[in-house]
Amino acid sequence: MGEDEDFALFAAARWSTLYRLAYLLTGSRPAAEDLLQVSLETVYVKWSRVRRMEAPDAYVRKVMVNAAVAGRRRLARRREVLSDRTPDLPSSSPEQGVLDHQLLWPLVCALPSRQRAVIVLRFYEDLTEAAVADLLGCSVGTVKSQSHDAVRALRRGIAAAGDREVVSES
Amino acid sequence: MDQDLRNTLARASEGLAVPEPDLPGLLARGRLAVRRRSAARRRALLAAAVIALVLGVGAALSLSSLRDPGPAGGPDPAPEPGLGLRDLPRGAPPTIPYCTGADLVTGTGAPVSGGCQTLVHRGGSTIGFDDEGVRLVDDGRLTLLDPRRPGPWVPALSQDGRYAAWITSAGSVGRLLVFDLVHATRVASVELPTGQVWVPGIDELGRVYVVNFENTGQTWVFDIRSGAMGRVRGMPFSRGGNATYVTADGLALRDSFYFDTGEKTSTSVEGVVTPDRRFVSRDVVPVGWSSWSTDRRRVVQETRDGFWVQSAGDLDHHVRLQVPTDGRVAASPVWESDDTVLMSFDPTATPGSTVGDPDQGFGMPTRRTWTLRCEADSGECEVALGPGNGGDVRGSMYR
Repeated sequence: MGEDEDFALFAAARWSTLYRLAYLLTGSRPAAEDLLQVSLETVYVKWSRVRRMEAPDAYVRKVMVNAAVAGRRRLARRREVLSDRTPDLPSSSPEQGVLDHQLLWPLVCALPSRQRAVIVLRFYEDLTEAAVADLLGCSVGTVKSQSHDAVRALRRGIAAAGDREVVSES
Repeated sequence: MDQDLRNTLARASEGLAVPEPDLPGLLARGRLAVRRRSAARRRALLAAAVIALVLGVGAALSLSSLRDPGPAGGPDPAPEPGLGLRDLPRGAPPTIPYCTGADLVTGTGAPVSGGCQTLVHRGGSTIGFDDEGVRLVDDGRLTLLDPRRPGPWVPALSQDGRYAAWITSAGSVGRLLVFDLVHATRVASVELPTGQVWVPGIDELGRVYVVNFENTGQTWVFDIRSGAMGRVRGMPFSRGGNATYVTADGLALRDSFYFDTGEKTSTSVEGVVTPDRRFVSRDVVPVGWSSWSTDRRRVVQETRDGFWVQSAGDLDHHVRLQVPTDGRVAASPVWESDDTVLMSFDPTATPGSTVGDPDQGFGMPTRRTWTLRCEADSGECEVALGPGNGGDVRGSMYR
């Protein structure tokens, strides 16, 4: 099998999983598609080496997460814009806890990219702090502080939603 | 909170409709990326070879080698030697506020200790922002305008530097904030029906544009003088909500992007927004994401061939900025004056690293960033600040 065919099969098989991760990292469908395409193009450039790795999926994930975290700078060059679109979520059911998930997801989307990446890697990918640190190329201490800051921001957002300003001056 | 986050992320992911992959397109763009990377490597190797020659390997260039450039019309002509960062002369520091380490130099006053933050500069005014809010950057001091971090895009400044506008979001609700920078006062705080919006700019009629990220069909305009806000009718749909720049009396929307089309430059549909808030298309121009000089004579944008400065009166006339090839521009160009452009430059980045190559490193931390100044007339560049300086200077998008 040629390298192109091999890469195409690899990308097709993992597209759905990677797209979902990209969506959680960016909070936007168009941004997720852009992120995923750009990341897979990077992988393609190195495919002859990547295909021989023990864990090519882990490499792709690393490329994508780091591209998302660096996204504001790179995207500032390209002037692409991220969105914090709220998906259509069903109303929460009692067995899932008292927190309104329709409130929490937009707050996650509003986090800075690095904090959002830490949250997604810890609570969606279920990675340990050490694994997240290795993936992001930072210390475990940085992961801990980013996670702490993110949760604090989320709690603040939840509290603020309770006494939101509604007056318009126009 | 941990379990709530797990549940929330799982639900957000599970409810998602996944688009079909465009595998042929992916392969085509991947092959193009391979070709571009190979060309960059050839330039680097040739530059290294030239340096070795100059350092006295002993060989002398012969006339015969100069007379033989290779087969005419060959598929792989020899590239020019790359320009390195170390080849650039050293110039004066920026004349607009900038970071030096963690401190912020704002003018003739003493630096603001620990004041380094993301900066936006336009028309003689500078604002800075971080997680703790937005501040007016003045000579020797910072004035807090709002304690909330703007998001998800940088604030916009008016052409004359008089006004600034941005979005803050809380949950699914967005709020437009508009400030008078002359008096450092807030002139408007308007709740929006959605938080998925950004402010591409303020036109010269004093109108702030608010655009939905995913659908430019949802665009609003806020008139600073009257305080009136309304939906703009007749906006064409542009995928990704990509308003590329604001004109004197309207705005431009992305029509095509060179990354997708293979063209050298992106294009935009320019339009006027009438007093009754209708968008009237005017022209398709070869300008995409860009930054316009404050006198509107020129525009700087990135193309497939690098960064160009084009004349507003004749967009076909362009000057290529002589940016070093041993690295990448890390942030949007910003007009320091009507004749010079500043750019953050990372000499450790490569074409691969600009799309997130973990082998090359990410985040382009400030300690590796140089600030270059390029002349708009000649395209010549110099170093304005060495590594570790410059902060994260960004440019507004204006015409």
